[in-house]
Amino acid sequence: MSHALTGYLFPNDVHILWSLMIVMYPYITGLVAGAFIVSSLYHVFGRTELRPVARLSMSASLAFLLVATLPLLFHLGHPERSLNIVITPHFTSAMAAFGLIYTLYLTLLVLEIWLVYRKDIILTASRSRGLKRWIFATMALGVYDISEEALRVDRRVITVLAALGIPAACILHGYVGFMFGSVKANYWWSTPLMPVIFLFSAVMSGMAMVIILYLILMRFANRPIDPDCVQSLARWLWLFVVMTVTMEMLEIVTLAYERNEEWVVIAPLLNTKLAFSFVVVQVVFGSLIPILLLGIVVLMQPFLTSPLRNTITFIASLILLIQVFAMRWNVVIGGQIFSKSLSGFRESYHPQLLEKEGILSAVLIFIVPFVFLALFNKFLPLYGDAPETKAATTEEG
Amino acid sequence: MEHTKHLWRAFLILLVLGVAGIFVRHFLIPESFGEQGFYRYTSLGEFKEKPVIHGAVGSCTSCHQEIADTKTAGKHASVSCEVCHAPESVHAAGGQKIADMPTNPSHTLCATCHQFLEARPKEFPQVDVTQHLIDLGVMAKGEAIPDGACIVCHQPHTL
Ligand code: HEC
Ligand code: HEC
Ligand code: HEC
Ligand code: HEC
Repeated sequence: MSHALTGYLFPNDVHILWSLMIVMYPYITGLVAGAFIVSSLYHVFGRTELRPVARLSMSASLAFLLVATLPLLFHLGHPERSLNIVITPHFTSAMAAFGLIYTLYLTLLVLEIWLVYRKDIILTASRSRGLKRWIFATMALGVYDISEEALRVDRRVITVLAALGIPAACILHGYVGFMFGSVKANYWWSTPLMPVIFLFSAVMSGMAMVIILYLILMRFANRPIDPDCVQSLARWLWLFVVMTVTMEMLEIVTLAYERNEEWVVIAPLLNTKLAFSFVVVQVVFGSLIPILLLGIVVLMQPFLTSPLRNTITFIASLILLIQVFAMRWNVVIGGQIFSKSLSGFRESYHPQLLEKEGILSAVLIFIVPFVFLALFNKFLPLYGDAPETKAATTEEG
Repeated sequence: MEHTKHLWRAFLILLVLGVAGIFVRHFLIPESFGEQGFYRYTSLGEFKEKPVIHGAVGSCTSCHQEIADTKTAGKHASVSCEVCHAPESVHAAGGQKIADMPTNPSHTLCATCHQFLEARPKEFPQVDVTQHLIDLGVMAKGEAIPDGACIVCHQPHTL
């Protein structure tokens, strides 16, 4: 029986308007920001052991950035109107700032990737013929200067761009958390901690994604895995998991301890509607297990072989990708299941397989970045170790 | 500076793109936008041109006084005729009936407001439609809801 919406209730008490697509949106922008932070650890903070993933993480960030707006387009429909918000942005609206932040970040990222790959681009251009040569020559902007001097200038610019990119990536994702944290009518969202939690879990998911991509890429390319690199990523990841989970729990503990009026809905929300996706998936499976697994990798390093540590890190990363997805789900959907006037709950939300904002759309959107990465890898290697590139752009630190 | 030619070219391209963006934006902003506020001022005129669809509350009364009176005496007093029927413009214009007014005898009409939902205020009369009909022996469990199921017992105007 379909329940139409008119007739003596508040629409936001009945419909889940922010659907699966609005779960996907912060998930994907989180991966963008997180992957970028990994590349900055190398480019700005000189974590040289992360060099094997420096290019990969940057390209992954771009690949996810290119699809970041797709969930919003699916959700809103009318793609032809999507640019209105960019053309006439109203600066009292946080959403309107998105167009600017996105453009700024995209420009930074493309410039940085271009500089990192410039030498490869030029070498490919001079090695190939015909159309390919023409394309790569265009990408090199017609300048074939790979003298030591030029590359040194490039490296300096890369460091500046990567440094600028950190606040840009943080704003890009912090603003998504802000979108939720600033909805003051919603007790489950409205906390100043929200942007921070979003940001930390973004870094977490981005790192996990880079680890997974790196391990899979090396397997397929038949290359040795750099154990120091994975070990270092595991250590960083552990740090971020611990901090993220601490803040996520802190928020709940504060709510539970204060017992303000919102606890009337938050408590039943957590132990009925979100019992599975929050308590089971996000907290027990998604947080405790990876903390233990990564703890083992980090603390017992001398006692474990590196293939074993890589495998454990891989599993922990996969679980963390699920954890972050569950966290986005619990925030976005959880915040819409209860009545804003505290009069109860609506039935849970079950996305359909084939609807416009359904499961299939979400899966397709999520696959596209990997296709981009595979294509990218066809033309420019995601790992930089051809002899001539080794000495090149990714050398500082 | 030597060896920075490529950077200058990249910078030039960004500059051109930026200027082109500002230029294009100028043409994309709709006319009259921002004249009176953060919206397209001429849209007001366009809305004014649109035909009126719904009559005001009481627009049916002039021709259906009797029904209006019985309805006002009952529980549905606060429910507008047009909610259950259709907008006035499909049916009457200039003091004349111009076409038949649709009537929806289906239970879906009533369920719009009376189907039990957790989110509805508790004091609002609501039933689980299927269960209500089963409880009253109108149908058996698993059967389809018959046409006009509710108005057999509840007269919408005279409740
Ligand atoms: C709660 C919903 C509802 C409201 C409000 C409502 N109606 Fe009806 N009306 C119906 C239904 C259902 C029927 C069909 C009844 C039937 O077939 O037994 C109907 C039938 C009619 C008919 C057909 C003649 C008849 O009595 O069979 C007229 C005329 C009519 N309504 C006029 C009005 C007017 C005028 C108002 C406002 C004063 C109004 N209605 C308000 C639901 C409603
Ligand atoms: C200009 C006068 C007038 C107005 C205003 C008017 N009606 Fe009628 N309506 C009529 C006439 C005349 C009939 C046919 C008379 C009859 O059969 O009793 C009719 C019949 C109906 C019928 C029965 C189906 C049909 O079309 O024959 C319904 C239902 C109805 N009106 C609903 C409404 C509702 C609801 C409104 C207010 C939105 C409304 N009417 C406003 C004159 C009017
Ligand atoms: C647009 C919303 C709406 C629609 C559609 C609607 N109703 Fe109602 N109904 C109400 C309202 C409002 C009341 C008065 C509630 C109150 O007294 O608090 C009411 C009251 C009632 C009552 C009285 C309950 C009591 O407490 O005695 C019954 C029975 C009822 N409606 C049946 C119907 C049936 C049958 C239909 C379909 C023909 C219908 N309603 C369609 C809004 C609606
Ligand atoms: C067989 C006759 C019959 C039919 C058919 C019927 N009802 Fe009822 N309905 C009743 C009776 C009798 C009552 C009052 C007894 C009670 O409150 O349970 C009632 C009560 C109600 C109430 C008021 C409940 C309350 O809590 O105040 C609503 C609303 C209602 N019905 C809606 C509907 C709707 C919608 C349909 C169509 C799906 C429908 N009814 C079909 C006989 C009927």
